[in-house]
Amino acid sequence: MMTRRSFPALKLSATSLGALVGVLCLAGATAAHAAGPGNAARGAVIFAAGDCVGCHTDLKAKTAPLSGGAPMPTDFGVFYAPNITSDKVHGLGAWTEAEFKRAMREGKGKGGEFLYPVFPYPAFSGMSDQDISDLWAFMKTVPASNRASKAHETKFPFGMRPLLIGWRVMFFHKGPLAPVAGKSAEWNRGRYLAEAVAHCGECHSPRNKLGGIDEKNAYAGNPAGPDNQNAPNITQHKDGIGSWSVGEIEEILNSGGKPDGDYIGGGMGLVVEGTAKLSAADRKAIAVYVKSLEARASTPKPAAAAKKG
Amino acid sequence: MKFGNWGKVAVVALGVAALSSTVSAQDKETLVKNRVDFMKAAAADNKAIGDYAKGMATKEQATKAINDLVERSTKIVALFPAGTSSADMPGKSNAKPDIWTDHAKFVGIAAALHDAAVKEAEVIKTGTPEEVGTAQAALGRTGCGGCHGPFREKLPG
Repeated sequence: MMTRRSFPALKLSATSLGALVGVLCLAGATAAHAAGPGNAARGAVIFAAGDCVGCHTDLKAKTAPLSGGAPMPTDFGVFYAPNITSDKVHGLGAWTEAEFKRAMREGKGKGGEFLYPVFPYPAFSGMSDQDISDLWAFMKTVPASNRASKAHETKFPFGMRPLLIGWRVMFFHKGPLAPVAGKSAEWNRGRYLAEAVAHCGECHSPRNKLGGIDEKNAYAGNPAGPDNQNAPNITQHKDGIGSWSVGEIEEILNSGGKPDGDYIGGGMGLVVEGTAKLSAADRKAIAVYVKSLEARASTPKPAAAAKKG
Repeated sequence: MKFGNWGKVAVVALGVAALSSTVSAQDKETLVKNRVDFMKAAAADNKAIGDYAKGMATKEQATKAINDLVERSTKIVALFPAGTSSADMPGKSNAKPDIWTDHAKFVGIAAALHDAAVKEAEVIKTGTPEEVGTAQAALGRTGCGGCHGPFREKLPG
């Protein structure tokens, strides 16, 4: 269900989480709180729920896990998720925890450069300090791969990273995500997991011409989703999943099973591998949150939108 | 002669190879339509088993469904002769060409589905509905979803 990048028209080629289950009842994790030392076991669950593999591993090419992803064609060029193994030259091995946190929270690279929002830092920015620390503890355990990251093939003028400041001003809201008053702890937990960790809206929302999420139509689907496949409408609209119960949403997050007995494929299959590793309570929280999404008509397919003028 | 599960799948796969060269365009369209209907029937089996796990169907219904699923799992590979991919039949077939370029993986997932279905039949016989639900989730994730992930694409429209 969830995508990953902030650029439209993504065509990912490998866009696709028990023993750890109990631990993700984590840290309350809806708001920033004093972060303790990172816990790699908890970080493994965050890692899975965030579907990091989907972008950072070229599954089709069967390269080393997390040693860099498949090409991601977008309207702004072709992007390659980098090697994030513990390799000191090509991966994150020479990074500090502070640099990793800055990348997740602020979308800045090791040298402070702006990262392209194809890396969904606008969502990850919402994560709690503790969850980022736990994730970092896990990342340090990822076996090193010396496979070099591929340089992005950006279209002019998008190769000039300083230009991203305009995008950031318009579309980036720095986290962490604050709980919504008046809503239940379960709903807030689900919102945190869906919005920040699993970044559902990144795939299931349409984009504007600048690659920002069309917030008025968030979660109404993206016909140009990963692998150029439609990431469906997951709002309560009749064209979305309005007829699904909370239990049915939980099930798709657990097994990938739809109410009609079909099982999902595409990039969402990988996402489910991650959400399956969450605790049942966390999957229910996500389901409760998703079930509360305002009904919105599905995003028109590009051809239909063009006809409409 | 007695075939193991892998053996059954392998035999069917060989049959497909023989079939593929003689399938006409019209036959292919019929084959794809039948393939879709076959998968919808398998989905109905999944739903019946899921309903049993949730207390919404009888054990008899679940037993009938799993028996059907076990049988279907031996026929899947044969439903995908060469020449019926989305590249061969755009807009009609949602089978990615990867099925044929990574055929061993495809056959392996079909075999895993068969093994999971055989095991689940035992769970339905002797286990609780909750245990059936757990088995079905595993079967769906690795068998059905394991194949739909890399090998199925959405049709436009």
